[in-house]
Amino acid sequence: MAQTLNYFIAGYAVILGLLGAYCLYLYLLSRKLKKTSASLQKESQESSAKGKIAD
Amino acid sequence: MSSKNKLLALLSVLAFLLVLFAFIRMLFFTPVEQTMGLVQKVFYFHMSAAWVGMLAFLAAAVFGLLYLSRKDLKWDTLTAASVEVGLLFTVICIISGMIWARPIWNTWWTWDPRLTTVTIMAFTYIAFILLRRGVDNPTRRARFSAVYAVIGFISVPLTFFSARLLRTIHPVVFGGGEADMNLNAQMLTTLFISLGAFTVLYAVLLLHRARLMAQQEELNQKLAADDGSYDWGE
Repeated sequence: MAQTLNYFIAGYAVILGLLGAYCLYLYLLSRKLKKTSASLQKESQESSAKGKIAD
Repeated sequence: MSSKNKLLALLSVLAFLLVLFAFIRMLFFTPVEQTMGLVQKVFYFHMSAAWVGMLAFLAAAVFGLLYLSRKDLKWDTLTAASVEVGLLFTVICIISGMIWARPIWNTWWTWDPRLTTVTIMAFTYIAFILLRRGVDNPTRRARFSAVYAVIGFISVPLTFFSARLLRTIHPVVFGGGEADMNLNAQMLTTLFISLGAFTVLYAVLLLHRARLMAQQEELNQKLAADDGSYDWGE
């Protein structure tokens, strides 16, 4: 039987590594979107409050 | 948490458990192939990645057709998400195949019909992602993506049948006649479990990516209304 343990490890490292990296990318993107959405909401609340004071 | 998000979270856990189960079964409960040794076990996830890649491109073509007939941007989001996820699995398939080929064919790469067609397929969809980014108008982008996904799908059957119709050194698992891989029952069971696990994983990644793309688009529109623009760092 051929000794191919190193290639077996490398193969699964690539497969699981790429899948893990993509999941991490999705998680980080989701966090970034949440932050931006929250800051936008805060900004719009502040501007509407300022508008009320001006009135 | 809405019921949709709960369902997606449950599906994500299920996908993780299925992939873990397939991995454990491949590692401990599937015999080692006598000639190739341990590297043959890369094949279970390699073939699953190839299957899911092609399935994702098929789904992208179907979503594209749905967009063209209904003009609803949600189908465009699903088309783009499916291409991105499909490309991830195709890249996994190509790299894991190269690692398998090194000890078995004594080379990392050869311009065999199957390897050539899969490369053409991957570049077709890399071009899809790059060209899509160049179109700003959402409706024009959606129409372009839908037509591209339908036409680009030609590369998928070309890849699938290349190993069956042309002279190739690439093994054929099903429908290859004499060139069949002759897997035993345990190996076949592991292969089918891996195929199922990767299919569920594809569905989960597709739904997550589509949800994020929709959120991104919504925020972009808000920012455009505020006369601002945002670099998502992609």
